[in-house]
Amino acid sequence: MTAVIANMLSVQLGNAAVLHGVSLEVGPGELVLLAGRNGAGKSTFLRCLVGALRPDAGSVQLGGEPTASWRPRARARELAFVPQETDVPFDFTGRELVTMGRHPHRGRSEGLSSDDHAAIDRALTLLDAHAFADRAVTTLSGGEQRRIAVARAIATEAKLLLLDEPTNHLDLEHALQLVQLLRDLADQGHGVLVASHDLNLFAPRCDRAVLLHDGRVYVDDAPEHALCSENVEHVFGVKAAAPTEFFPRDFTL
Amino acid sequence: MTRRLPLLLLFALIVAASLHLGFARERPGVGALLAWMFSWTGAFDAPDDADRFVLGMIRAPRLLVAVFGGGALALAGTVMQATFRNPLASPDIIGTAAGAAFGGALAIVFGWADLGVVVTPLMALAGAVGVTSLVFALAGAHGRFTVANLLLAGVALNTLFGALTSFVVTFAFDNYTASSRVLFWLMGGLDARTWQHAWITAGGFLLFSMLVWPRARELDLLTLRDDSAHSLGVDAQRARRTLVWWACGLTATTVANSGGIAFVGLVVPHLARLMVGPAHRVLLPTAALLGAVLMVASDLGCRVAPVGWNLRLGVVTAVAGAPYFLFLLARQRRGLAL
Amino acid sequence: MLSWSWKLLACGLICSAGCADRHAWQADGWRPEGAPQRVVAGSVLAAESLLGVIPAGRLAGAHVFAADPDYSLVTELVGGVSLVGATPEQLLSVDPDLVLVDAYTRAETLALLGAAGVPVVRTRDPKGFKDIAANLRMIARVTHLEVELEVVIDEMVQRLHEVTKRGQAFGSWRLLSLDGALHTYGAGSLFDAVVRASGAVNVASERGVGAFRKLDIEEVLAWRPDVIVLSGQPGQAAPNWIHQFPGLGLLPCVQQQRLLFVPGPLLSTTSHHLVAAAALVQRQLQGWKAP
Repeated sequence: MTAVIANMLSVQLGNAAVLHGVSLEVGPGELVLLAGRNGAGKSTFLRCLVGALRPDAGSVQLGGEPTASWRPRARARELAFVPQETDVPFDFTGRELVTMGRHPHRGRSEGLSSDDHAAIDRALTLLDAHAFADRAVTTLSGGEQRRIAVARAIATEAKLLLLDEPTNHLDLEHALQLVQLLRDLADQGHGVLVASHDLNLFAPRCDRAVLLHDGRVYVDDAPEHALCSENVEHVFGVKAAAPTEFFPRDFTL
Repeated sequence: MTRRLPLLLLFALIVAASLHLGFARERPGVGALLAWMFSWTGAFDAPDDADRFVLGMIRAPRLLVAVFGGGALALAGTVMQATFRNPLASPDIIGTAAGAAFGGALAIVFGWADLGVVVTPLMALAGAVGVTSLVFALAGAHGRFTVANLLLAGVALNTLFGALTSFVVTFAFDNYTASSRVLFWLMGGLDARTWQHAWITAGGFLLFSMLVWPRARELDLLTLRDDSAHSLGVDAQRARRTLVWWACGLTATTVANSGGIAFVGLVVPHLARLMVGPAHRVLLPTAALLGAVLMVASDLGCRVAPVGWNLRLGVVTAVAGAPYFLFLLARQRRGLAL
Repeated sequence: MLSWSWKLLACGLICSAGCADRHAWQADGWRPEGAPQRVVAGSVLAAESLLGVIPAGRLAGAHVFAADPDYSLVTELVGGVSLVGATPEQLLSVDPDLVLVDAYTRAETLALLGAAGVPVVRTRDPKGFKDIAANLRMIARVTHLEVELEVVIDEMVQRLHEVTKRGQAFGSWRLLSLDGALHTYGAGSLFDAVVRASGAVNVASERGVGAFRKLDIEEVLAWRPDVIVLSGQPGQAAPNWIHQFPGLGLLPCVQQQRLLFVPGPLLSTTSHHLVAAAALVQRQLQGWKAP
């Protein structure tokens, strides 16, 4: 039963303190939304969770052990990450990029096993990416590149998924598909943490919402409580009015 | 087609190598070469001692330096472009070539080059390794360095050692022989290569390519951003440092034996990528073969060019490489990908 | 469009101003009115020609290389003469009324001296002994030393005649000059003239090489000279670089130590002293008896 637990994480980047004592846990079977203003520290936090950034204070644990003590490939089999920027300067095809997601599972041997092929195909299907999987990624649109990147994370078959702004550049249909996919994965037992500005899309479907404010956790609760008007106004400086006839609408597929 | 391309290139290399051995202004020519190769059948006479000496002791080592040197430079360029996530990276940017040029120039100007055939290559190697270490030392802070810092340090040291090389050359101004030797060294050339040069070049290529080859998949992953690579189990920082050192090794052992050769490390990976795509499992051998073919063909051009031109290898590769970049620029302007 | 043509006109005017009116001393056969009293020998050729001939006190300065044993054959004769480099400031510093230079002096230096009103005479790059004599006559004319330098020319011609006569009885020696970068002197070079005068054959000109060229090691091995001519002290050991070129150490002439060393300044001199080089070569060849 692997969970990723952050405990009193503090990170200083340059002269600015980005995170102050942030504690957060993501376990299997839940979809957690991480939201906050620009510069609140969401991306930094995600990078600490996956071990790409060492915190100045506090600890990150994966499955009970400190993340840093995991061997990189074993950790990659448990924890997958989709960062905000996923551009690639060379002409790999989408399929080749998704195949890179199988790296944690592949040994010295060069060939792909049937498990690998199955995982790749499944990931492409879930992201509705078969149509453009064999084109060079440099010819794809931003949204298509994003979907390839998410497919790569899914192909790792990791139980825990961290995603940073995954719905960026995606059109409405594909954004909804992605959110629905993440919800399905959570229902199947994955632990999913999503940092996103897309509150309207995620709020109805997530199990918990965490608001980061000034580098600290402001609230960590079920979405209807966490995203109440007072909290939204305090964290985002925006009034949350009751839904009107026009916008926002609740979109479904 | 893509899978068979390396084989085609291998065939092209064999043809180019045969021409390189056999095609020359003086005897022995292709006939003598063929006669020697098939003399064991008894149908042909083996060529005489003088021809055998020229083929075996002069042309053969020169050919081997061209083959392994060209392959090494192309491999180094491919590795650099992957680790720096930039199709314009080349082995020159971290100061390896500038250091090698400086070391070789020192050896020639102060006369140590005359003490032995291996003195110039060894001093060039020392210069290359020294300058690259300096670049890493300047760029690294607490063991972690950014690509930007590495590039800045590389530019700074390239400039510094370029100036120091010029300074060393001014000591040789009045000594015509030394200054012309340094100039020819800086422009690159494969004349009068001995078997010692060939051993060093071949050894360097084999050693470092064996270190790079198993990491082909890792090179693919390094083209992703560091965070993505990290999440897939690759320590991008450490991998980058190690692979850049292997690229430096490949470059240093080549430039130490051939002087400064431009463009092979920059252009050949591009061409190879155009031919077989960016996956390193196929790209690395393709680039190595293509680099070898290019180097052998360029050296052949140098040897059969009119004598008065004094054509240097580095000049030929630069002249061949520049139009390719103009072509890339034209593609850029039309909005196509680099 | 209009501004473009004005710029062009301005450039043209500046360029024509730069092409200064020709000085009197640039005409062929020029001879100054009175004998110049403050002559500067601004090249090794001028120094080697004038030192020992020109009356003391008329030589105001000599090129620094004239006192350098690596370049000059007359270092003992320099004595108290001021040494100057080939820059305009240094040449003008000794207040000359005539400066003699060679083909290697820069055009800017000549222009500046001319603008300062100092006559500058340039010797030509000689290709043989006739050219050397012509240079000497030109120097003689502009320094009013015709009588003295004619004696020098006569001695050179006489000695050359003796050497050539002796050389006709020789076997056919095949010589090749080399340096550490495999450069050689071929047809039309002074070395070629020396070799021909001594009665031997210059392999490089036999093979169609021009005055100066870098050779490929394969060419040297294929040509198989009888003797290799090198710059150095007669009787010294073979230089290290010989063994760095594959096969060079295996040539018969190297194995038999048939290496002919000529002192650097003598091998590269462009003055009448060159005839001594021919004599030296001939003596050495006679010492080895047969090719």
